[in-house]
Amino acid sequence: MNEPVMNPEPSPPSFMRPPLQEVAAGVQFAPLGVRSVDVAALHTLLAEEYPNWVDAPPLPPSFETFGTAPVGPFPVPPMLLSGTPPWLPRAWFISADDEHIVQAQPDRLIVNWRRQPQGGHYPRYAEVRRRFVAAHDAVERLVEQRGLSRPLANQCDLSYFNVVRVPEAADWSDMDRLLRGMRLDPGPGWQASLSDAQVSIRKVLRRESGVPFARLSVDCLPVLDFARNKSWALNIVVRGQPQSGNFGSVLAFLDAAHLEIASCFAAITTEAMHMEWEKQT
Amino acid sequence: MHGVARPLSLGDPMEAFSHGTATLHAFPRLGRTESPLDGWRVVYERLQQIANLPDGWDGEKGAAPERHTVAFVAQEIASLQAAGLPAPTLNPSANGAIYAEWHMHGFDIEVIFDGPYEITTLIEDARGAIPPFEDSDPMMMEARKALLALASREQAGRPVR
Repeated sequence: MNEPVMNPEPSPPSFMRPPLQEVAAGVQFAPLGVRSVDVAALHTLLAEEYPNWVDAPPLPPSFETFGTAPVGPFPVPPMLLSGTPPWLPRAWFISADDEHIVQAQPDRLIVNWRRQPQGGHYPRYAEVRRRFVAAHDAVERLVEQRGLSRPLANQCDLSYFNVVRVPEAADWSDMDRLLRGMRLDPGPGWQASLSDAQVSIRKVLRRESGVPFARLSVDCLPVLDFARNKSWALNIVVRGQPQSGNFGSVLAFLDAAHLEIASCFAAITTEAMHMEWEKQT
Repeated sequence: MHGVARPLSLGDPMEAFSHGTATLHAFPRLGRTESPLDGWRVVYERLQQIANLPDGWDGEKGAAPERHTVAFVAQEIASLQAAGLPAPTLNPSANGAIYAEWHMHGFDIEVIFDGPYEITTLIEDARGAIPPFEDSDPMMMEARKALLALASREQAGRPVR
């Protein structure tokens, strides 16, 4: 099978203490003809690991596209979808320890891990992947029970959200403390210190044929950690089209995206940060 | 005309309807305008109309476009607008597809969105500068090449201020 061509490294760089706050693995598929009673049945299948349930507004469909201008993805104006039938809310099934979430709506399945305010241990990609496979298996069982079409994927995404405390005697604008080569020097004409800064980096990922199929996006922006400490949010996302609609291609996409994100994270961040995060050799 | 199974609307949509395209006389065309920004506004209004079509919108078995198809078209046309390319005319099809068409400066370009990444592009250039094309074009690579040539032709035709 012609699988995605991303980073060729067989194993990604690893850190003992990565600054991760959240990881999300998601798939978007052609809408399933489910009703609210089916969402309740899905929760029954997952309730052992995710006993709690809250509702959230549904996410609009989103696609990574590749044009002549370096732009996108574009949020679809809600008014464009106002004429479609009423949609179910996005269900959040939450684990008892509040760390793991399965998000389900008729055209999406997302599995999240999130760090708790008191801290906690990142369970690694393998655990996020295991939970994603289990949640997708539950959806497959549900649609089979209901006689509905199987999920046919048209978009996947893997997202890593990091929060890095700004070092002492540094400020938000000192991004070169976090990111290689990002020293901002506006020159004497600026006549003031920079209060903050943010940066966005994009990279198109291509198949062996050269056809683009996904995009890696890096965003670094100033945030207040726990509303107190100056920090940088460093978000790295790979989003795009799987090779085919079947689940094997979805997993191949996510695995390749994981390699790409881990390699990107190590490549763009500084050696000083690597020491703090205890990079493994 | 182009050897594809589905009906196509070439030239004036009303004329095309009379030859079997899905464009309906009951589906009002929005007014023409000269401003490029107004042109794109019309495109989005048109897409809004298409998004709101119900099943049976053509008085027969016309399928309402899928939500994901509308969302995908919205992103692609926003990308075309950001690239400074000319605005298309949008038309629905009875099978749920959405057509984006450009018929100007010697070009006949049609991009048929059957679903996300399910795109067929048809290109004819009366001046012969761009070779004819009629095939699957999931990332709109061929369509974009032709649209860039069309934009250059449009630019060259503008009076110097």
